[in-house]
Amino acid sequence: MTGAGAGLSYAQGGWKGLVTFGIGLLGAMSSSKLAGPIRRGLAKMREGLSGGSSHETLLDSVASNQMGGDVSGGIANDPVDRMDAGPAGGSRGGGGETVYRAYGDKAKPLGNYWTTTDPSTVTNFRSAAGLPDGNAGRFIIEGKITNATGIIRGTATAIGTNPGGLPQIIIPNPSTQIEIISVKGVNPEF
Amino acid sequence: MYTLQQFFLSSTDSYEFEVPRECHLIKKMSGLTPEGCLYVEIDPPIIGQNYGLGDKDIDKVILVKRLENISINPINEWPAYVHIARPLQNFNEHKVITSDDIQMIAWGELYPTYDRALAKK
Repeated sequence: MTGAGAGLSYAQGGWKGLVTFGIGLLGAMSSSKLAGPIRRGLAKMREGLSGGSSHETLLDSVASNQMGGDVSGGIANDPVDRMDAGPAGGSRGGGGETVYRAYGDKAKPLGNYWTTTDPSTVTNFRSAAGLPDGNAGRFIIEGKITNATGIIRGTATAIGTNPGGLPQIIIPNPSTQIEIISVKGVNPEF
Repeated sequence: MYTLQQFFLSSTDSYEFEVPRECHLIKKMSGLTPEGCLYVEIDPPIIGQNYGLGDKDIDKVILVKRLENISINPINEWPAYVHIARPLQNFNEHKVITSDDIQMIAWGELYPTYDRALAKK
């Protein structure tokens, strides 16, 4: 797909007129799909063997903080470290779920923040996702999760008059955990 | 090491916040979400020119939690996922912040140390 082809998609306008481009470019970025998770898994095994906290202890710590830890300085007594928490800090599994990400301007293509909801089905996607002004929402990447290790799920916070509510997925290493299906230009942008 | 008033901000999402910034908590504020938000001083500051501020840089930001199921007041998990907002006025006299008082400029994460903010892990 050339720049002219991408420009054509803009000219045609609307979701119907979106043209896929850049698959090859981003596909190349996921060629080392297994290396990251293997390195990460080995690091976690090392942590476990060197006397790291048990999952039960970590869960107790979360519960304790939720019940009202020290709030004097804005940080709880013993914040849980998601990177040490294993299953308590994120989900695991083979994935296969379809995910989407809006980006553009100051927002990177392969950031860690994704959603399971197709943006084209959301009336006011910018508001539901809480996109910041630095994210032009000019492009949408669609992908499939190939490795769900460390993924964190949540819902976009409602802020002021912004309703939030969109499902959010935080993916630690998108370049090795997502298989890119398409990259589309959006006209009009979100 | 970090103190109870200090942590580090960087972003896996935004080019502008790729470089870690040291944060010092100025105070907790009410508004925007039921748990409120954090008013912090950042170093290095954000270049103000990108926001039409000429040579006046932005050295204070508001941090608001980005997911419903986490907390940043208090911060109870690292990394903590946040909205980064630019104050549109001085908050020293304000008790409750509204959407009109800020501009959401990026998504980011809070980390306990500079090294982790650099590695984004």
